[in-house]
Amino acid sequence: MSEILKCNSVNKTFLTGQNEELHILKNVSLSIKANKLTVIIGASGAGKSTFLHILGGLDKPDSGEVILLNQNLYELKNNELAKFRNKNIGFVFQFHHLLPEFTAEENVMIPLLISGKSKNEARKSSLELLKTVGLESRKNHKPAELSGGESQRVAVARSLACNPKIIFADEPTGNLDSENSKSLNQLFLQLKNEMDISFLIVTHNPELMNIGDEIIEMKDGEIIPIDAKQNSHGKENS
Amino acid sequence: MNEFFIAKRYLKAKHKIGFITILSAISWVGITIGVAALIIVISVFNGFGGLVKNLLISYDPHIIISTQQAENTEKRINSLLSENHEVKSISPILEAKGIANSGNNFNVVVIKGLNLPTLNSLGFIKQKNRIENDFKNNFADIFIGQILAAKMGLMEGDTISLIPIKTIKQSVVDFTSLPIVYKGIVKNIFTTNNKEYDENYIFTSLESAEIIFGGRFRINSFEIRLGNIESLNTIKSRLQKELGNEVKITTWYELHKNLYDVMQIERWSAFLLLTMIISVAVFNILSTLTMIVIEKKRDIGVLMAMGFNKNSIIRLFIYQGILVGTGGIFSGLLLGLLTCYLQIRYKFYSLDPTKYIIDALPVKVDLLDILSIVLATLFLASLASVYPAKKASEINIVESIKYE
Repeated sequence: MSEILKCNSVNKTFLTGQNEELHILKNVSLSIKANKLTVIIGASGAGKSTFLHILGGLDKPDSGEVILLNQNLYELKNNELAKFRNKNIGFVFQFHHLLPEFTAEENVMIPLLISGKSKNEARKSSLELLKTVGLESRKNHKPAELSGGESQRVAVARSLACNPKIIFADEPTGNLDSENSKSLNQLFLQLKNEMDISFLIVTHNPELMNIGDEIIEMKDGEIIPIDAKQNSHGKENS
Repeated sequence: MNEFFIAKRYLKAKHKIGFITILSAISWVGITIGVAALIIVISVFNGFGGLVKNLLISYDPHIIISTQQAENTEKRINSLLSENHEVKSISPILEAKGIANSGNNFNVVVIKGLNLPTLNSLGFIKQKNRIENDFKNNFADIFIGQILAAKMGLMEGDTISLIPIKTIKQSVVDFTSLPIVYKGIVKNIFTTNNKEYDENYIFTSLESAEIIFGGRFRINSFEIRLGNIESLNTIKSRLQKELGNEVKITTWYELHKNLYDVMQIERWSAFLLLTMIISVAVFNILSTLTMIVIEKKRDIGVLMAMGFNKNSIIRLFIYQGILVGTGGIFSGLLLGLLTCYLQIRYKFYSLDPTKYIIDALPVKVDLLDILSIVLATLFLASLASVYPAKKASEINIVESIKYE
């Protein structure tokens, strides 16, 4: 199976308030296969989110390279990288991060409008995606009128808007109750199977670990690959 | 136009920071007042400008041609302009000083001779008493300014004596010659509303002037009056081209250039000063947008994660500044134009007609001015948006999306 994402020797350091260097990612290399649901687990502060942001083109590494869909992300200029993100990557964050002034339908439309689609086209696709996540009837509701689970589903629909090749999700169920978490996990699985999309999910959720094709553990800025099937039951919530 | 779509929605949004709504309203009101004030003041300037222009072009010749070769020039002017429909009249000018006397009243006056068609078509002359004849039976028919007539106690039909200054000069150096006295009959008492003209000028026919001043050889200039003042420059340049450099062509505007320059300076000063009111209002747009950028930091990060680039973010906030500006411009236009309309229609700011030559503050709305005011305000509003927009585009995506 072909790989969709590869990173080599990625390093990231932050300066603390006391001007001390904090080495968050230490020479991390990784390869992710296409059409798989890959889960990154690890304790808080292990560098998972930073790693995800760097892989998704949201944050620059100090050194190393990230190759997504055969494109070295950090060789792109800012505008090209923004366009690349719009076209190929979907993001789901821990908090739904929907724009509060816009309805569910309009929130899903925004990435499509950014890509240059007309309002009508965007509206049509948006409605289809809301159907996919089962929220067609809530299209005219603003985020404040949606429950946490519904909002996160709309956020998933939004991440799918431009037909991306890969979805990066940072603790997507971190803010949901177990029922909603379960249903969101099923949605990820369903999308992976029905659409040709790869998922890279950072989570603490043990159930997501169960459905993951591949589990990666991060510890102190380094990764330890583990076979998901073997370890899913042995792994506790990190 | 996604940026515009989002900017429009942000404008309507309820803000978590209530102060943003207040600031936004203040900038709106400020721009409204500024734009309305500019429209009203500039329109009053236009009104006065138009009034002065009308006064001047109704009295002054529109084009004056001065030459050393009068006869030749006259023929050429006539052949060039006789077919031109924009030209109302062409006349040689014979003008010199003299003394007007009635009883014990002596006044130094300017006696100006024009040909009959020109004389009788002067805008300020009452048409009922025209000069039909040239110098006849030793009497010259004359038009006399109102103030001069009042000073000399004259009424239409009265007779006065006219003494050319030249003959007075001669009698001073040559005791054998006496000043020559001509008689003038007042046909018309005119008012131009210009004190200098009404106090000093006497008009008569060209032939009478020739007799009074002793001959046609004194003519060295011609005046042209136009039916349509807009064709002034076209006709001037045509004349200059055809008549060459031996003639000097002056337009009525050039005669009063100093006055117009002062009026232009006043107009520009008012424009700049009132634009400052708008600048202050626009400064509130800067504060409003800066606070919106802080409030919407997370949304900006999310938009950037979804593919908005820095330029789109800059455009989003500039559009928002322009939208606030446009709202203010729209209500300012409405207020300003309504005030101008009410003044034109109902003259609610009236002037005492016994003191002033007009009964109300003159107002003239000019489309080009309105356009300049709108563009200047839009420019200021977008300028005020640049700083917050730039700050918004520098937001770090990861920092902004980290928290709820």
